[in-house]
Amino acid sequence: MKRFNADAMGEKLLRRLAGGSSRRSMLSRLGAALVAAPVFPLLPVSRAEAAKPDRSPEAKTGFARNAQTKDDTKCDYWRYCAIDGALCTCCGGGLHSCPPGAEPSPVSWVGTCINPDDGKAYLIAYRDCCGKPACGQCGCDNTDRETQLYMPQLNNDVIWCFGTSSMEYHCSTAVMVGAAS
Amino acid sequence: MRRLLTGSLLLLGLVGIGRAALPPMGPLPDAISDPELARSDYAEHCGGCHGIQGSAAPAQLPELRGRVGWFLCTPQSRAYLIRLPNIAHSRISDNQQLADLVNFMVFGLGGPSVPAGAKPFTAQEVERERKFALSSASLKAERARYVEVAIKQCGAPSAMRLLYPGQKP
Repeated sequence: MKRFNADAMGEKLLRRLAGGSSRRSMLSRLGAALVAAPVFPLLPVSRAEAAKPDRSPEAKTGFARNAQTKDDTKCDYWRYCAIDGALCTCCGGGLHSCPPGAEPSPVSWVGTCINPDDGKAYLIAYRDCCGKPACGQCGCDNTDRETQLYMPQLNNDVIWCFGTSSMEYHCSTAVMVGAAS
Repeated sequence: MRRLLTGSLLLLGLVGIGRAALPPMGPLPDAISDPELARSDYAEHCGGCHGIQGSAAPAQLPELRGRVGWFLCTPQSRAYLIRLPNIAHSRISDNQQLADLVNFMVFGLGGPSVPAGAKPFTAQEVERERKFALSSASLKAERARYVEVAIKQCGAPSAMRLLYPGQKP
């Protein structure tokens, strides 16, 4: 006698299936699958692929839902949705300005943040201030729309002190570029 | 009081950051289905490094403003723009949306550098060329090659050999 008989096993399986299921249950399952199929394109992955970026309140990130618009020295200030580093507002600079002695980098990391006051999306350039030792105050790491480091242009861990006289990182600003459409 | 405050800020030596506003629309080809979105996409996906207004000098990056249009000189150099890794592999998956972005960059920022009669990119062209992303070629060598062609065939200025006008060697 053979130890492994695929034929017998297959027969056993099919007979069990035939005995345990009716044609009607098969039809009802098929029907349910047909009805359920169109629901799947509504899943977020599919919506993210839509031609226009989804700026609706439902598409808000966790950051945007909890962001505030009053205190720009806190990590949850709305413009800091993708900032990584020390806030220049805590280091003697401002939202748009580097602290004395630090030099703004000509390149930046651009993020899209939602202003909770009007619910609209804005483009924010995170411009590093360079050429001075690290400030070390108010360290934040918010990650809206950021990806892993293997795509460096979409990662905000990179120090963007290119084109400055020194690559030493001091702090980050959050410059308003304009409304995102 | 406000003036006093501004004055003291200046004295403190705070370094303001300019050139952060969105660039003006300028004359754009009708092929762009949504110019506002194209400009916004440019700022979001390219403007960080290449500059919101198309210039990031003195950072070591090719300046786009008034220059990038020269790459429409030949079919090969057109294809080169779409095959650039960050364009070909852009997270904009819709080819028309990506064509709009590139057309905004070329015609909106490149302006007078577009050779006469050059046609805007179509979604079909983008779809075809982005499959051939330059993943192993030297981007510097590729750029240098197409710059020479643009200088010879389309009359691009010799400063195109530099990353930006006035770049120190």
